Amino acid sequence: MIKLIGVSKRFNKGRGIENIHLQVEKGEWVAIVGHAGAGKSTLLRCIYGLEKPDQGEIMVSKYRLHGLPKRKLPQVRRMLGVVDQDLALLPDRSVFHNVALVGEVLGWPSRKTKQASLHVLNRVGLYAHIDAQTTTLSYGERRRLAIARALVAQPFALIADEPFGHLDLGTARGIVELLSSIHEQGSTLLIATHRPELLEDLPVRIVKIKQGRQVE
Amino acid sequence: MRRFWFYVREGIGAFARSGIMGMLTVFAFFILGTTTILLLAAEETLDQAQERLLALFELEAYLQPGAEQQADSLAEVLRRRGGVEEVKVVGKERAAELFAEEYGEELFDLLGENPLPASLRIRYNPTKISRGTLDQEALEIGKLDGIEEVVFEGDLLARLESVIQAVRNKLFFIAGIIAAVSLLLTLQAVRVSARAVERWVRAVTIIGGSAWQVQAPFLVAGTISGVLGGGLGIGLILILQQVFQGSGGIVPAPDYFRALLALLAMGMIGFFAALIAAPRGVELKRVA
Repeated sequence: MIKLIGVSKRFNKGRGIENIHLQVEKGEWVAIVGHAGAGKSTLLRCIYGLEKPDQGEIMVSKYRLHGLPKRKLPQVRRMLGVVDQDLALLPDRSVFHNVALVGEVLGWPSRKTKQASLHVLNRVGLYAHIDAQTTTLSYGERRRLAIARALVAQPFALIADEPFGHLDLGTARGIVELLSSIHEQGSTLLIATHRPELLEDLPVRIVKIKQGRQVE
Repeated sequence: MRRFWFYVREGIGAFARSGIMGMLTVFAFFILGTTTILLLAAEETLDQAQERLLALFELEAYLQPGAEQQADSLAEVLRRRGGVEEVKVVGKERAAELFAEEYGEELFDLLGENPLPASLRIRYNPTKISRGTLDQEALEIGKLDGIEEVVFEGDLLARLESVIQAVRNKLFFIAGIIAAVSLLLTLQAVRVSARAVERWVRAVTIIGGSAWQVQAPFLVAGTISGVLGGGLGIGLILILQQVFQGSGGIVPAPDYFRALLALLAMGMIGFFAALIAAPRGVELKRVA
């Protein structure tokens, strides 16, 4: 479960979020919807601990982020599979090694790292590209790779910031299908997007924010 | 062990990805390594110059009139003093010969009867004395029975030593400035290198890498820069020392042990520069 109670974060330029209340239950798919600059990314970054809220409480599973020692933040991030807006893929490594980085960071044996990486790459449809450099992938494939990396450690929730950003309609629908299949397998999804029309007819709870405030 | 190799591999990767800034770091260490070894070599050259200078000077103890018979026993007493390398007895006749050689026999003939006193010339081991010791020795030897007066070119020696000391001070000052500039350059270069691998930092942070896992590769990269740059600089100076060792005796022989210590120091400076430039807890906000 992810729970936000009255979370606010302000920046000098005036952007940020104001008094956000949100609860994401296990197995639920929630989409934070709003225009660019509405505060969607700030909200997600607060959840995975890259921004510290000025006010409010955030709970991620058993962890209460306010007052959590900095050294424990990685444990929270390990419970969440994060797809950053800019994807943060390593351009000088292959598709496989981008995903295997997770196992290396978590100290897994190389066999487990290999098995888990190949499994998740197969799941997102990139098995045929395991040796390709990320720079040779299409935008849609890069999104899939970032999702694969987020899923490899079997997090309890997947958090994705603009997973359809800059994608043409066909490719974006492919990502929607992928997220949908991940959700169907029981995963909790929390995404931020400015393209809610892609989520129509799906079991997604929409939370709208405008200029940092929750409107619905 | 798996983690260790992860840090080493990612550190090498971080160094390789840092591109031009990584090269700048190596260059900074090259300058630092070169400066360190040059300073050590120059220090050694100055030490040698000081020793040679001291070796040129000897005390001359003139015997009292009628004390020539004591010359050998006094010489024996002096040989037992610490730091004394050689004591020569110069009798009245030998003193006359030396005077005649230096100023001509005509002048000596004008003096009539030989007025020159016998003397003892005392030479010291230059590694065991200083100018201060020579002053003290002159004072103490002058108090021995049978010794009339002790002379040595103390003022000239003092002037020459002050010149050497002035060169030494300037050398330290210049080396200090170069070392400080190199360190600042290194700090900045490591800091900017961290920006160059921002994407890696972002990736490791969001997948749940600890602060140490994010920082450790920078420490490895800093150490690599230090050892590589320092090694190049130190190696260059060692080769030059080897090549020019015989020319005039002013270039000291390569000191491989000191070079190894300097190389280790460069590696440690690289490590600590990275520790300062990419402190624990380096996160996206710091590099974004």
